[in-house]
Amino acid sequence: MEKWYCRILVYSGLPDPYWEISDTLAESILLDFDSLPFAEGETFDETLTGYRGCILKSDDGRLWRAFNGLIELNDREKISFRSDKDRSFERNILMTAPPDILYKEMIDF
Amino acid sequence: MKLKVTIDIFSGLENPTFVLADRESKVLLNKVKLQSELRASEKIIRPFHLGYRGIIVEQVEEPVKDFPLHMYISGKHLFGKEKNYSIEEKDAESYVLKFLNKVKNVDLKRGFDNYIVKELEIAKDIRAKLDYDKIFELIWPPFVLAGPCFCAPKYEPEWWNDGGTVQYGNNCYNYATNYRTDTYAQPGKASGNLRTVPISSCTDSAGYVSPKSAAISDGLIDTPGANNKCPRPGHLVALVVAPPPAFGGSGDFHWYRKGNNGLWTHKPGGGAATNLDSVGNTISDPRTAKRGSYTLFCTFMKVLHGHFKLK
Repeated sequence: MEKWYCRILVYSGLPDPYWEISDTLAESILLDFDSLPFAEGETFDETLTGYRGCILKSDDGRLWRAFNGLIELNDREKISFRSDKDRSFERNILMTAPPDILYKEMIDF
Repeated sequence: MKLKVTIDIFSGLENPTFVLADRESKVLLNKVKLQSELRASEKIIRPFHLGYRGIIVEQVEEPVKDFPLHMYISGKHLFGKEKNYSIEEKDAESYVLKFLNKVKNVDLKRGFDNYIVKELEIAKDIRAKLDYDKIFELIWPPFVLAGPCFCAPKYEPEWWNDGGTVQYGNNCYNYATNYRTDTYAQPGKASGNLRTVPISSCTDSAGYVSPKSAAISDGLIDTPGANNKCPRPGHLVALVVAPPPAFGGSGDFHWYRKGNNGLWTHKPGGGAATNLDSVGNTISDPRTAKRGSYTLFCTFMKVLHGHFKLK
């Protein structure tokens, strides 16, 4: 059984909040991922401070980062981008967060 | 009194070291007659060649005031922590070689005692031929060769922004100090003086360890008067704080670093290293850069490579 972690990219210095989720929950988040359109040539705006997206990571090292309509997948061999226009992939990760982790101003939706 | 003597000869292996008893220590110091303090203009530098270079002498018990606590003796020169001297050469280096049998920290092979005597002669020969003026001509001013901040790290975003362990395991503090730990390093954690939360201001108060004093504990050197000038040696970093109510009340801290081209770059947490501020401009001075919630500029600090620890 794989272990899955979620993390919110929000701080610069302090450790970002992170939590573990189940296999089942991770699979439900990834259910439609492969059908999302590719978004090559796009990148995140790395000049922002504060909330900069969220991460879903499996313990085999695969990592999805979602922010503002874009998802980056690092499958350990290459990095690719997909479009998440309605930000549902991002929201689905955030909704798994324990109640004391998210605060109103953190998420700019 | 007691003197700890280290023979500076190796490059990779541990140097032989031993302690001299009271009488031997006094004899050694008697052989080192301080003559005059070296002026900066005299351009004498510690030896840097391979092989035997000199001896390190540390006063470890009942120190005497006439000598620095920590001395590096090489030929006619004594280098202290703060001042350097010319000395009368009275065979201090040859004298300590008589005590190699006291070395316990390394396994000296048979023949080492003869070998090191020859090395000392080679060193004397090198010293006699050194032309310090020529050396300084070649290496000074270094900024002509390498950019305005000679000792500062290069901006290499592709190295930090791998979309994996390096990017997400290292934060602004790792990046600013140019030290990858993959632990999302926290100021003070390595030195037992961890910053506390909330990150409320630049300075300590009752029950609050600021990221500034925590970083000083790690070995960064507070240089509030740096005024955006490159130190030499080392490189310049800057600390800013986002005080509460930012981030739901926890506040946060952030670091920038000045690169060898004189411009500043930073890495916001697990985000990518970038040379742009929060409105997309290059950063010539973090005091005036756009910093989002990080409204408090705390201080400049100097990072001396190898002189700090991070965790």
